[in-house]
Amino acid sequence: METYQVESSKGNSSMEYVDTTVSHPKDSIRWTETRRRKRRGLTLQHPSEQRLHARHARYLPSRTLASFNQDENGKMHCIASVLPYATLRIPRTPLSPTEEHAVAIASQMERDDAFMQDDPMSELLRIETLRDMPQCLMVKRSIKAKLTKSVSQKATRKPIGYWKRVKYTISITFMKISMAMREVASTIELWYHAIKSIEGQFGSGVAAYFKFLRWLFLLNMLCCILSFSFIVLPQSLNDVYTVTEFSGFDLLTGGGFLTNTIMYYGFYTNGTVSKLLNSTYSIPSAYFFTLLCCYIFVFILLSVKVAHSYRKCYIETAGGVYNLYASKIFCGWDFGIASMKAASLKSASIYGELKEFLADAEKQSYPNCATKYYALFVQTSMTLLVLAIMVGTGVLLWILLSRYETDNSNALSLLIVPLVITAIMNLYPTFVSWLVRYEGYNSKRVALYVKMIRNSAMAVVVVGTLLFFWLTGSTTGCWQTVLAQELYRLILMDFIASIVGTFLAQMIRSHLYVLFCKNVKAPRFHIAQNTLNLIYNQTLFLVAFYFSPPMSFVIVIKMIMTFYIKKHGVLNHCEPPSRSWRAAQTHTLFLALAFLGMVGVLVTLGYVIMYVPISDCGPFRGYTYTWEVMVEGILQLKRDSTFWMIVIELARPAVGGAILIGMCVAVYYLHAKAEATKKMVRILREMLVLESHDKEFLLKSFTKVADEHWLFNNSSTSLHDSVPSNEEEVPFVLQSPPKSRRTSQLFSRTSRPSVISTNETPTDHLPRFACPTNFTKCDIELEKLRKTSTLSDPGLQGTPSNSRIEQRKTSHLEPSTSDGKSSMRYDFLY
Amino acid sequence: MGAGKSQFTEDELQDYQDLTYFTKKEVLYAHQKFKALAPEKVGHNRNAKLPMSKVLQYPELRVNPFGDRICKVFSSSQDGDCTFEDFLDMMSVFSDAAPKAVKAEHAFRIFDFDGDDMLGIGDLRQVVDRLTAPQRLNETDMQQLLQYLLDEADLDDDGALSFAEFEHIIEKSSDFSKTFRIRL
Repeated sequence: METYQVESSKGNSSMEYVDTTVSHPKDSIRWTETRRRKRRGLTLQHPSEQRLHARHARYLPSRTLASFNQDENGKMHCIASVLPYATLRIPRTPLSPTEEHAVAIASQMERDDAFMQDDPMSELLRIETLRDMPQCLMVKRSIKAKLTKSVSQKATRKPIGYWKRVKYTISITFMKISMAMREVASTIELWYHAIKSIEGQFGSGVAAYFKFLRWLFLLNMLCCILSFSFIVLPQSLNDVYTVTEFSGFDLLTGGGFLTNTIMYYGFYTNGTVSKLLNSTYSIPSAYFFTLLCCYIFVFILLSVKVAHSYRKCYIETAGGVYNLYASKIFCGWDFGIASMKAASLKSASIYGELKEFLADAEKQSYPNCATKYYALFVQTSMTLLVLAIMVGTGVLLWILLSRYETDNSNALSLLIVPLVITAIMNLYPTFVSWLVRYEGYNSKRVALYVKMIRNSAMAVVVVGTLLFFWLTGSTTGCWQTVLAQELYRLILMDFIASIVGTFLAQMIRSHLYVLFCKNVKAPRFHIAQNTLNLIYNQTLFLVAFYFSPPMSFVIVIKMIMTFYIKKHGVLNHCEPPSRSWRAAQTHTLFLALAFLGMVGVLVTLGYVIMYVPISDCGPFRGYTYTWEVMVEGILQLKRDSTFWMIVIELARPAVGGAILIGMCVAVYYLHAKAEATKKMVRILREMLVLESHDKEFLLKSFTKVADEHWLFNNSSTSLHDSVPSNEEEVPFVLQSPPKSRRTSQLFSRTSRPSVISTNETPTDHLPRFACPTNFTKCDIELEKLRKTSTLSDPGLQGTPSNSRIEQRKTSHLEPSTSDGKSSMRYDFLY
Repeated sequence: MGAGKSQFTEDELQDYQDLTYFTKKEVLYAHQKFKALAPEKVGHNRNAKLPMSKVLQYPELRVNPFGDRICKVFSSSQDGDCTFEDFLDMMSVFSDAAPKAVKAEHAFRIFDFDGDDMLGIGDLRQVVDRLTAPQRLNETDMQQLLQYLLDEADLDDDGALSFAEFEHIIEKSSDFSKTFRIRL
């Protein structure tokens, strides 16, 4: 590898060649100037050069056909092998109508056995391949018809074995079911039109909030159904109501009349219900297991979603490079936007951001030491300030809790703690975003993350203090009920303040905006703040759910109202956001926060189940700890059983240590692997550049030979007249061979003549070096990229040399899929 | 949705379902939307060819800076006029279910203004100009921007983005499949 780098750095200074071809007037950028600054130090190329070749290439077979050609050599039957090269371009000549094109593709596909079996799997493969083919529907349909026809004619009907038939039947049934499910899902998709109209007017960022809300709503709906059918309904059959006077105020405080109802933990009986069919139904078991199922279900769904989202936007897209400009330009426009206003704002925001990027790029090259330290100092002190505020809030809460929670006499004193907490939760984010503005973070994204982390830390402090107080401080009386009431009040207060309050504020502000257009800014929808509020809310619910199953009903109602109020507020009062929102990554962060909240809740509940003694109310009274319900009451295990011994063995520190060490080793191994992969990516990247230069050279010599041939033919038939008229088409006839240092060196090394004919492949003399490494997806991608750019370019198809290269490449680069990993091997000369 | 049903046979719907990322219901819904663009014409002949100006009435396409390009790419006659099948194809590619690779392919064609199978400087310049529509970046900024862009994305250093390079960017971008999407 060293040789390479040395060469390329030399090449930078000495080997520039000025192209004599006339470039398109639009492209008159001084590339020789700008290209010199490239960090990789590569030889210069003229931008328009490739296009000249591409013009020739256009009349050659298309890329999809190329990939089918490849199929004949290697045995690549999966769809994935067709897909990467699936790009198809209908030659833009009037001579080839779509029908002809369809015939060409169909005949190519017919050559592949995998497509032409007369069994369901093959049919599925055919359909999927066709579906993923970038062709217009008419072509696809005619291909499909042709294939179906020829399959029924040609296919040899082999007898299918019993197992295969079973497999097919199962897979087809599965497919049909999933199709039907999709059909149903698309018909009853909740709030479809509402979300679409929001997306059309406000972009996908705001729509993502509403989708998240919908997802949480469905999740909670499920909890609600489960808890109602298995806990609340059986319990309500067992009517033991003590009638107390009801007042409207109780709905606000969650106390009074509601205290001794089915709403709270304390009301549930520890006996059995035997109203129906003489069977008995044990409430404690039902209570415990239903909630356990709900929590496990929510946990699994949430973790799958987090993992999926994380993989999608951090792992699959990671590759050492962060395409700032490319992703802004190619992924900048939100195609879902449907309103003029949003569109013009989007354009303005893209313009602004591009300007900002350019300004930042200028600035970042000269970082001032003093300002950097000053910014660091400000940031640290602000963080300390925020930490102090958090500690202060915790202490304040603790004092309030210990003063007011002990006397239940006054309803107002019940409301003080929730009021304070809600006030903090709503004012603090504004304070934080005000602080962050003065901290001078480099990028908006860091600022956003800092904001979000601070806000969620505050939520953790608040909820944590509350739980800590109740779990350690007062274990007398029916504290579960009291805690559930407290949480109920919090959820309700949060609804009043952040949903209704925000709505009113938005309304007033938008009216002010209409009245005094200049002075008041129109309200905007703060995605981050609203989403965090949603997560806070969900965490509260998950805690409260254990102590009060009907709380799921409350939360479902709350979410429905939230959806409609927010929707109304957004559509009628808010302006579309002026900044673009990095939906995918921020969404992952939100999910991660929700997940962390979930884990926190589970740990807390685990603590409650394991270590907090049960008070004498609720379904578990009679036991000392909640876990005994499961172990002794339900599994009927005694202390000296084998299961118990195994659990005790597993809980030894040695086992824990061994697991920890094992995990450390695994982490180290994976880290090393990642490092190796990174190195490999770098090497491949460099090779890619080299290969492309070779391709350039090949193309050029190919074109040259072709043109000479053409000239020769022409001059033999008609001597003079055709040459000048075609000068534009063949501007590089008189060009000197490329003086690219690497290629010329290559040929001098192997003492080849500098002019080669097409059936000699310069790739045969490519530098070789051996690098057996385990590849990850990233590398394969790069590899694919390299292969595509060098091999399946249409310009190369059809030359005799090319098929030889291809054969060689495929034999060397064929990933050995047998062991699941793709270890590839390169044979290089030096 | 029932009204549109009479216009298609079951076999046709099955074909559409097989060849696009839509279910039969969604195909019918798409037809409703298509019909709404020109009720008389489509009511008369369900696969009528609508001129580009009519197709551009579709709300998402109307405000899209690449609306005409989208029509041209999906039009089977390549002049921007769309039949229902072209429209269905378009919506299918823009739907949630379409894989990234298929979306990338069409995005590449949309951005490839001169149709030379490469995103050259001219193409990129036009993309940026259309994105920032009423305003324009000044010449130095534009050059700078294109330079940075090629530094990032142009792996083989030939001053233009080939499809493979473009696809590479798209694969690395987490936002693409969220933004390159039109909900039916």
